Amino acid sequence: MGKIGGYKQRILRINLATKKFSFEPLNMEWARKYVGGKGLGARILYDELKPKADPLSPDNKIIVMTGPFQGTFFPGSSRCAMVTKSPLTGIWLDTYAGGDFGAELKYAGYDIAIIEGKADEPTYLWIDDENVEFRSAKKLWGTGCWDTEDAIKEELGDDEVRVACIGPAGENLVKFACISTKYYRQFGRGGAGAVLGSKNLKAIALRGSGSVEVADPEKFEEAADEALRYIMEKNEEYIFGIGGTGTLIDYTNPTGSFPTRNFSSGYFEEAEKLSLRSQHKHRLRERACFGCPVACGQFIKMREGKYAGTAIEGPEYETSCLLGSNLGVSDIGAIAKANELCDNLGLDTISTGGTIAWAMECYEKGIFTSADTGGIDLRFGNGDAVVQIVERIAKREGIGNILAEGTRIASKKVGKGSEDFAVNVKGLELPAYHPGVSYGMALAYAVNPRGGCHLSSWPIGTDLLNIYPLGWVDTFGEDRRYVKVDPQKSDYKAELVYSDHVTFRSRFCFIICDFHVLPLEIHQKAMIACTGFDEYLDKNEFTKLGLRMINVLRLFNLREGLRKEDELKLPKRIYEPIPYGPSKGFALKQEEMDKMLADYYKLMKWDENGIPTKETLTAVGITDLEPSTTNLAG
Amino acid sequence: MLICSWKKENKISPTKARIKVIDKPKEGMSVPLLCMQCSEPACVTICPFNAISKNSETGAMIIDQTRCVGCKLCMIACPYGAIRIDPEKGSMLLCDLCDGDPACVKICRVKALEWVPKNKADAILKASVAGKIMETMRGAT
Repeated sequence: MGKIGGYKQRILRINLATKKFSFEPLNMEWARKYVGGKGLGARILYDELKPKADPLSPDNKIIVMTGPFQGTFFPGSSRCAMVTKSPLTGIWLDTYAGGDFGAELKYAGYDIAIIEGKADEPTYLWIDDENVEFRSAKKLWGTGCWDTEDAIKEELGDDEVRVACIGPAGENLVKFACISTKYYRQFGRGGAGAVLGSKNLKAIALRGSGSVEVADPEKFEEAADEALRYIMEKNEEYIFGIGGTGTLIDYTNPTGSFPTRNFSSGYFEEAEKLSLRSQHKHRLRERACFGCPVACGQFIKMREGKYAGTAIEGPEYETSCLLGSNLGVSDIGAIAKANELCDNLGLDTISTGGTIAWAMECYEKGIFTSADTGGIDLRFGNGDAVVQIVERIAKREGIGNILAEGTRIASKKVGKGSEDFAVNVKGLELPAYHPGVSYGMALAYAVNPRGGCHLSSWPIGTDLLNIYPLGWVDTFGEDRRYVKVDPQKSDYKAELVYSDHVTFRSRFCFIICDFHVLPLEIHQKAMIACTGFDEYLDKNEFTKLGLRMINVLRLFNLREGLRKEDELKLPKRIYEPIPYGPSKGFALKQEEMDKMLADYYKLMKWDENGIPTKETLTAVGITDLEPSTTNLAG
Repeated sequence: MLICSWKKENKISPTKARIKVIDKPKEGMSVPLLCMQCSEPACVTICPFNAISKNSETGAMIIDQTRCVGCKLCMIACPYGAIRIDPEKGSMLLCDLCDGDPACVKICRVKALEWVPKNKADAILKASVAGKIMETMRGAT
């Protein structure tokens, strides 16, 4: 076995109840199999977590995950993951942020930090190389994320300390509270902020003076050069990157797949006001994460209007939709202000927007009255109302208390037919691609491991934009190369999701930012040069990695009680034909959904209930785990 | 910073980089701090051990580590904050321009760092000032 690189080969374990910390060696057998990030995080959390633990109890654990790439200069390495059990969905959660937190954990000497237990009073962790302190956060409790980060830097006397923290939303256990880092980057989805809140953990401050080394420095540098040149030359193909994620509006709106007014349609007449062109009028500068040449961040400061002076990196595509078109709001200033509040109070903009959309529809239908909303005129299109209600949600004030539960629980509590338009899958509010228009996204939302998520696969690229997943031809053959995919049919959808899972999405293990859509060969070369895991020279091993990742996540979710019924249907709203625009008449049909799900299970070699068989698990290299049969009996 | 420590130390470690970027995310700004190869370098003047000299070919400031005792007078004297301490070894870190082919310049996608001949070094500033004067002239006609 040759030299291993990329890893620090060390885990930091922290117990908030006993205020003790310890170092453990990283299981390198698991590291070879799952690499890091999503895959390794899943395998470790499966081992660490008690089945059916309450996500907001001291039994839950949250793990800060990196991969071998973090801390290196390979483009796209500026990511970090946190994995835990989600208080919003009750199943697997992996949430990612840009910035510099992951790199710093490696420089401090750790690949992973496991945080367990509950502190007896508000605490923040100060991890300074091998020194870990449990510091009082009593003065910080109640403070927004930005002020928290500033206060911690001041208290520690170091402007370059990296901080990940929660705001009032996390402290108040809002189910979709997020963790903020470096002000404008968020571990956004699934309520990781509430997990920290339930542990009385206000923040993690980090500083590392060490280094990261790689197995084959020459080849690694070559691969990094190749990646950099590819990014510099092909930058017009980077539809998520250079110029900002808002560019996606120019693709989804004209195809009628841009969710509008609680997914009641897919075309927003005033989309131009949210577009990149409008955003750039207020832009001061492009901003990059640590070591990334793409610099997708758009730092804006509103030049005019009611919210003049509001400064953020954003709004991103998802936010422009879920706090914009999906609320009927076209005032980019109001969206920027709501974005600022979410960042500072510590709320996921996607779930916050999805929940407000549900509330707006309830209000317009008379299910909520002005008395319920405390006088806020919660109609679609009212940007000021959005700004007002965000704060109520973070503080669980008035109607904010029920909205803080998310659309699944809120609609169950309220009833009156509101469940029909609570737009989530497995509790996770849907992102900015209309699944009634793109059946591929319907399947993706149904089967992506953390619920209604757009990251684990992205079939809308093919459904509407003729962008095929990397490895499409490798997986399914040359005759598939330019196959015409109909967004309103179930054909090819399972294959698109599968293809994405096993090729591009294995990046979530390395961890490489999913905006870096580079040819597989470059990432393959880089991964081997970084780690020294030369078994991955065989492309089949690479494919198996993606399958291993999805399968171990499946086992985790099954053990937590996930069943086929949870992914068989989307919210009723998605089956209602879109009334106007480029996607007029489009709607999801249940027989197509049934077909796609069955196709997907078949491709994954799971049984008809979506349970991996022993043969399948063995074939992908998982020999030490089995579907948790005790839970499946009932 | 990452490519700098890589080239100079064969490790990726921002604390060992010779160039440092000061980040101010809430202002949306970042400022790189680096050696400006002064023609009358304060670091050379102040060093009691004559450990710093200028390379005649590249113009880079070179620290002779056999002479340097780590007193840090150079760090205090440098008006650009360009000299740093290696926290591991305790020695001083100073940019040597990678023997005339600076790695940081090559990796910067947005060309925030440039490596230009002396007679062109003030070109951008000149163009900017001339531009402002021309704007005033246009307004007057």
